[in-house]
Amino acid sequence: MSKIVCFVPTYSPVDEAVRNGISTRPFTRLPQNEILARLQNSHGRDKPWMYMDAIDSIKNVRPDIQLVVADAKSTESIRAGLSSHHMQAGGYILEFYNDRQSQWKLFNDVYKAHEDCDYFVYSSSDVIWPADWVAEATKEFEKNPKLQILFPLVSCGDGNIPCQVAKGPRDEDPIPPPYDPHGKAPVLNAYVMIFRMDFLRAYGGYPNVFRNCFTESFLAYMCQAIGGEMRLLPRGWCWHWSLGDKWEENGSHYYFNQEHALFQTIINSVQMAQGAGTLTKEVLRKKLYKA
Amino acid sequence: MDEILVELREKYKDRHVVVAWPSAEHIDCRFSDSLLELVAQNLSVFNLGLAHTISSRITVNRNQAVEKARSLGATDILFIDADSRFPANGLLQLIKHDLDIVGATTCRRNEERVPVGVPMEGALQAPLMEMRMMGFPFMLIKMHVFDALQKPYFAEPPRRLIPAMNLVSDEVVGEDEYWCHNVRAAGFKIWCDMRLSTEIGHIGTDVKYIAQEHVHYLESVKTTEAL
Repeated sequence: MSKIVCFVPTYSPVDEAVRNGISTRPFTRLPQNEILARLQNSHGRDKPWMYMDAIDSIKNVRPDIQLVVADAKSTESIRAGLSSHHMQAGGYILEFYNDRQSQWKLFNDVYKAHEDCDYFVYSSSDVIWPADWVAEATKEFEKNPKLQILFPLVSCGDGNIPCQVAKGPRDEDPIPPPYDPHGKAPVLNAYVMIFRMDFLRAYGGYPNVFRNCFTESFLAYMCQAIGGEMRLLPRGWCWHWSLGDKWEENGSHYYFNQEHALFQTIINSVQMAQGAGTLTKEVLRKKLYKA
Repeated sequence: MDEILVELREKYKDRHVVVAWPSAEHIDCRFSDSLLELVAQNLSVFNLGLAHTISSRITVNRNQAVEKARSLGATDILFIDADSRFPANGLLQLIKHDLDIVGATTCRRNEERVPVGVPMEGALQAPLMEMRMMGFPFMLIKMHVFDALQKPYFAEPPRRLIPAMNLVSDEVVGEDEYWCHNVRAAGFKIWCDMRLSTEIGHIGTDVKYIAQEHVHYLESVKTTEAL
């Protein structure tokens, strides 16, 4: 059986844990039906309760997966809630970082500690797993040795509106449902994704030049540079709270605006190298990784 | 300065590319987005010139674009149809082949989304395919090709006036077909980059791309395909 590690980053600078019990839930593990019922609650996205829903859904669906939850650094009350859940529900590793850090730094810490695994799953802390999409993904990895990264569909409940097909630097035409099999989606938002561990080994981890945003724009190029492929898995579904992301909001904590110019410079350079036929793993490593 | 940019500038320092987009008075914003991205990205590599020729007659527009490119001292002309979507690095994808005539096609705007153009039999040298005829959605031509042709380079004569087409018809020949016929008669080959062709959209109500079944023989174009 394949060894799989899943990384869930938590980070909230906003204290929602004391909202008078509107969205609270037990610290013990909830069954799937109760988690899914909580998605109907307009306050169901409050932290840390949403984090617990996400964690429980993963463990309910795939108890065999090594789950690592890393927090850098939410409010003290959120951390206290996570600690209680970790003690009472258990079944996963909980790492607390003392400083706010890039989630990709945390990603790479988890990668290094679990490098012997066959697959690495990244799952945002507001993503719920209603079913075992990972089993479908591993079937595809076993069938196709070139496959490096798979993205399940992510929706907020309406199957006609997948939300992980991002505006890309090369194309803004959406994939119209029911999914043009050759839809142009070189960029997929990293709500949830699964990597063959060999991909991460090839590059020595996940790109860390950006703090949170932009990195997924390079994944298709990274796959191509090692003769691999990156695909969408329409028969794998996950739930995500809301259709959009908050990266571009004013006052965003994700450094979107601060790093946007750097992104434009790097993507321009990478696209030119790809067009000229000189894009290699070494070029991408130099552009996308800090020492 | 970025080392990739420095390398490309050195490699293509002698190439002066004029981007030509013949059109009527109005163009689609989806086209202009692609054009701006292409120009912005490639200005730092090439000595780029621009030739927008405007009239209701495509033959006049194309001929004028060639003359303008020549007057600007171009070594190459990149024709882009004003109903195309294309990647910013498309010019680099074509120029690296270093061929006299190399382009990318797109699909017909019907449900089948078949590629526009007629390949030569057995002409695939992946990702390139030699073509008997193809359109100009994204076509790079070295200017010396035009030196070997008679004016007007682009025309729409009745088919019956072109014996080699061996057709008795009241229809006129498309200006692209006429040009392809003449350049092949002059000894040139026409190449189509099928990999890039999968990235060339044909703008209509929506943007259509060549259907997967028509490019299945190219493993590398499957990178973004869904399972």
